[in-house]
Amino acid sequence: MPQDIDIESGYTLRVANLDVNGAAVSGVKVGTMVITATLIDVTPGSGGDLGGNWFLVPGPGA
Amino acid sequence: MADDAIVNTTVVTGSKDYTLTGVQEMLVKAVRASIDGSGAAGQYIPTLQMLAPNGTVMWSAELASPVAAGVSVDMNWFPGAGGGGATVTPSLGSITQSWYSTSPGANFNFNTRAAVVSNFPANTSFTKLTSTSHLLITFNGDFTPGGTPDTVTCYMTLDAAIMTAFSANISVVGGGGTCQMARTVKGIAAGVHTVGLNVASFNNLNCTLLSSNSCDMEIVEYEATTTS
Repeated sequence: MPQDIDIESGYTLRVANLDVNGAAVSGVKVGTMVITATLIDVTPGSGGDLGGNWFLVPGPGA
Repeated sequence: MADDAIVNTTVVTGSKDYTLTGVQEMLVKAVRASIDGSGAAGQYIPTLQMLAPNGTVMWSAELASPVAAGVSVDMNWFPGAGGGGATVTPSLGSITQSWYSTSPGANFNFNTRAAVVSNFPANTSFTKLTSTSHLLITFNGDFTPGGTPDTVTCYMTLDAAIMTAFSANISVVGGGGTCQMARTVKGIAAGVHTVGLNVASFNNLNCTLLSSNSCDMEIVEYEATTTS
């Protein structure tokens, strides 16, 4: 993946499972997905519900 | 500023998206995903994509080689990694993939003491997923001998190098012969390799490898729990 990815509202990170032609392969499941990121204007480790079953993991001091 | 972890543990069939909302902004450092391929309809390529607000795919980071149907992988994407930035993470004791030969449309005739490359298997390409794994390669095949006495030998090859051989001593004509071999191999680099089968008749008799319907070769790639 590229370096220095700075994204904002409206942009999507997607994990997909494709065939050699770029079409989705049926029957493949995606389980736990973890994004490691620096959040702008968010106190690190503050935790929280980001909606859509996404959660910001709280830090040890939260 | 310290990094955070954004997590979604739900299991979904198909793709999984994280779309930023509101005033969110973030610098992405890495992405991990557990992929369950046990129900996959075919081989698949785990891919991380970034989509613009209108759905345009801005970039894709794909695993260098497809994962076989039925195999599950734990994917990690981060900048600077080779092969599109994704790797299969070895898990000791796990089977990474299985490979099965396909048969050519015709049998293969041979009649020389010097081993010759047969037409088996029809699919000679095997993509090894990790450099740490071991391979268990097996062959079971029938042939028709050209006469008696003779010794027919089959040689399994990987990248044209002979891995193992089995000789069948023929003392009775009228029946057939069988070669059965198995071999474990370690120290083979990840990537595309060529598998094959060579055959020979010690007495230069007209033999036939029944490769169209009575041969099979299988490869199991696994992360051995020992390096010995």
